[in-house]
Amino acid sequence: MTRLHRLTLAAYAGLTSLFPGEFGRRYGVEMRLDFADDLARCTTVADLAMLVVRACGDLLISLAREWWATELLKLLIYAGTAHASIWLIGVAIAAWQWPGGSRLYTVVISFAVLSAPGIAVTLWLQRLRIHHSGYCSLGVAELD
Amino acid sequence: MTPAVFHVLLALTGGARHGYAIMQDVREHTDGVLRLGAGTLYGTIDRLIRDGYVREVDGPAAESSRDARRRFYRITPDGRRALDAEVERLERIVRTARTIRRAAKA
Repeated sequence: MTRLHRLTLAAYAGLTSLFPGEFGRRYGVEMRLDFADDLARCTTVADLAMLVVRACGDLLISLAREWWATELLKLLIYAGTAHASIWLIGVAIAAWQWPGGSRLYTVVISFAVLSAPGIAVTLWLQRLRIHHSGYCSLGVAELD
Repeated sequence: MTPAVFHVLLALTGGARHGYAIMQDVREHTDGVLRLGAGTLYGTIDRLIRDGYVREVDGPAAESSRDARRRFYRITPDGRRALDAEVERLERIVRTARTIRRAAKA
């Protein structure tokens, strides 16, 4: 195995460690073994480049899928969306220059900043349920 | 049933296999058209195990410590039934398509 092969394998191992805990622990070793076997078959730099491109594409898609399955990514997206919405309301108030808008803007922005940890904790404690009909709702926590 | 699920189950009908052997089988069965990456493969296997279509089994005695680290997977009766149902569904689609094409040509 050349130095380039070893470096590629180390990079791949690093990427596989990004999988969520249980999945990474269960399949990480096998994924690295499989990649090492594929790597050993690469005789030219072109083969190696092709393998790396394929592996990166596969890892990107499967990392997103596995994190999505854990619901953590969903929680982060919805927390971010909720937070961004509050900011947008503040910006809209400032832009329309309502009477007393500047004072209200300060209040809204302060609320956005102060509420961020609260939103994150609330979403963490509650399970955000996505219904197939296309809307989402907050359900009572079913803590693991 | 996604193509990945279908081909993983199909590869396992030949007996217990480890992940890399499944990958090779799928590539061979599809003439290289479907190349499952490791992330896709193990994600699929993980879901199949949770659904009860595949289970982990002891592999043959390992020849090296490297082989010992590989896990082997086997299709369950439920998995076989799901695969049979999918094959039947695909056959029906092909039969319908052939009938329609023949009628169009006539």
